[in-house]
Amino acid sequence: MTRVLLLVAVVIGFAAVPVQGYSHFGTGVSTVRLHWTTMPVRWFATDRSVPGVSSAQFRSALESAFNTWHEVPTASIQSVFGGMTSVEPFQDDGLSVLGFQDHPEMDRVLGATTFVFDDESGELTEADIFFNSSFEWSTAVGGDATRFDLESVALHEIGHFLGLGHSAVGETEMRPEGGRRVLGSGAVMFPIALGRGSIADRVLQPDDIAGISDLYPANGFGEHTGGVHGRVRRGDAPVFGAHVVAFNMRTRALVGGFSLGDQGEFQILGLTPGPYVLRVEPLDDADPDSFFDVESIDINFQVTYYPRLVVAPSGGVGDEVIVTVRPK
Amino acid sequence: MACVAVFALCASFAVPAIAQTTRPPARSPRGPSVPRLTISVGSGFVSGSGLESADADLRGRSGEPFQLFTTTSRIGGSLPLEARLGWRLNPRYTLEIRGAWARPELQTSIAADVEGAPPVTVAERVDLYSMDLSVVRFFPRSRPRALTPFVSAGAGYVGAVHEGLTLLENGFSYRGGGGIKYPLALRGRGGLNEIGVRADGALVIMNSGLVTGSGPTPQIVASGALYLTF
Repeated sequence: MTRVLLLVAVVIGFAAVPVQGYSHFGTGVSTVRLHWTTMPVRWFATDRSVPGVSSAQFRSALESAFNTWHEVPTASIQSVFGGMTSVEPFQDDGLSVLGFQDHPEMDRVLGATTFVFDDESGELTEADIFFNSSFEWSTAVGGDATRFDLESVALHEIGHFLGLGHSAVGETEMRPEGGRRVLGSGAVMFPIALGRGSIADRVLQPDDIAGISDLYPANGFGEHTGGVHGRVRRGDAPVFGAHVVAFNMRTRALVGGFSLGDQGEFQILGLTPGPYVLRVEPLDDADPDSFFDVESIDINFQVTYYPRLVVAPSGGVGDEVIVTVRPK
Repeated sequence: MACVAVFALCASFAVPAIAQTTRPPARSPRGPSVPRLTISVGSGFVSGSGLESADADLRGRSGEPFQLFTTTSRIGGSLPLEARLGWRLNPRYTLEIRGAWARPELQTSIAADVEGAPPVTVAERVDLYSMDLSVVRFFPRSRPRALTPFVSAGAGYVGAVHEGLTLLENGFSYRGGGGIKYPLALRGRGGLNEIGVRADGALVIMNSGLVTGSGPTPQIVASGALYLTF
């Protein structure tokens, strides 16, 4: 067992902090799938309030966020609130603790998650989350335009807590003052928060549901869903780190994956069976460090659609597709 | 060979008939046999049909949709193979089971990509199977060898399958239409009674749109077939 500290963050600007080691679910290459093997997962909340959020409201927001993950019908997840505690997050004590901490030096980080896991099997034994009390928080039902919504950020961080990495299904633009601003997000697990006042990320999106269901599949999930797989190439060379998004015209679901194999392989699982449009784009809507701790991400190509519809069969993956992209 | 056999059989009966001219012919215990079963096989054309548009939307900052790209899908025209089995209920009404197979192309046009990717149309062939049950109402014809108009209405099942493995969609279909049939050859009683051709036209409505889950999808179907009546 090795204590491995992984810091994953929701940021309001660009991701200034490294890194997390789990790529998106379903890629199935080179990375360890972090996951809990014993359910329910017991978690504790630090008994500390911050302006705008009492400790009771803090606990309630966390329970709502955990319940949102529990209620994914295609996933099998259980957790239980262990109680309020004076223990701080990020202590290697065998307790999974969620709490506020003041980190003014992390001026773009709303929250972060650390793990203790077996670096061979990926089995999680502890995960801690801190919410940065340098920011102003709200638990108002309809949100507060001047504050960040605690439940939305908690839903994202608990996704990490359960073993999910960041999703790249989203679009951003550069801000004149630096950092990025989200234009649209296709996943709660997108690494950049929607912004103050938004409560939209209290609700999971198809990409989140596919990811968590792939990691903790409920009975029948594998039989009733399908996948697509293939490779991304530019000429004869594989493209590493391309973002591949499958779009289902019937459900309107967008589910993403990455080409992370030596040959630019990608795989997207957990799809509703049916035909899909495949869109391949460079990973340039957030700092690549938000997704992988590698430096060889290839973003020098144009957005490309695979020229055929790709069918995800029920209970399996379809034929391999080769997506050929052109340089910018 | 069949014609020779029929002729030979009639000739053998002709001789004793002449010898029995003094007796009235025995009345048949049954009425004339009514053709009951019709089989037809043919092909035709199914029109393409537009399907619903579907936008690939992200979640905007306030929860409003932020468009990543748009798609518009359609089923291309196809040449189906059709087979029908009809059971005549009475001289005017026939109950008909129809099975058909076609390989239309599913086409999706992609446009308005947020990052400026050029518009493109992607496609994939699917196998479209349908089976339905119809009631056919024939109108009286003036003479045995004449055009016979008919109308029909029915309902059935339709399924789209990809590469024989993946059921993409299934549901109910409703059809209404009509046509004409024309006998090319008429025969006597028993066995094969009639050989002819028929032309059908119908409006078929699938209750849920293929692929996009849109509302009813209408298609115009025209077909021709050779039929055999027994």
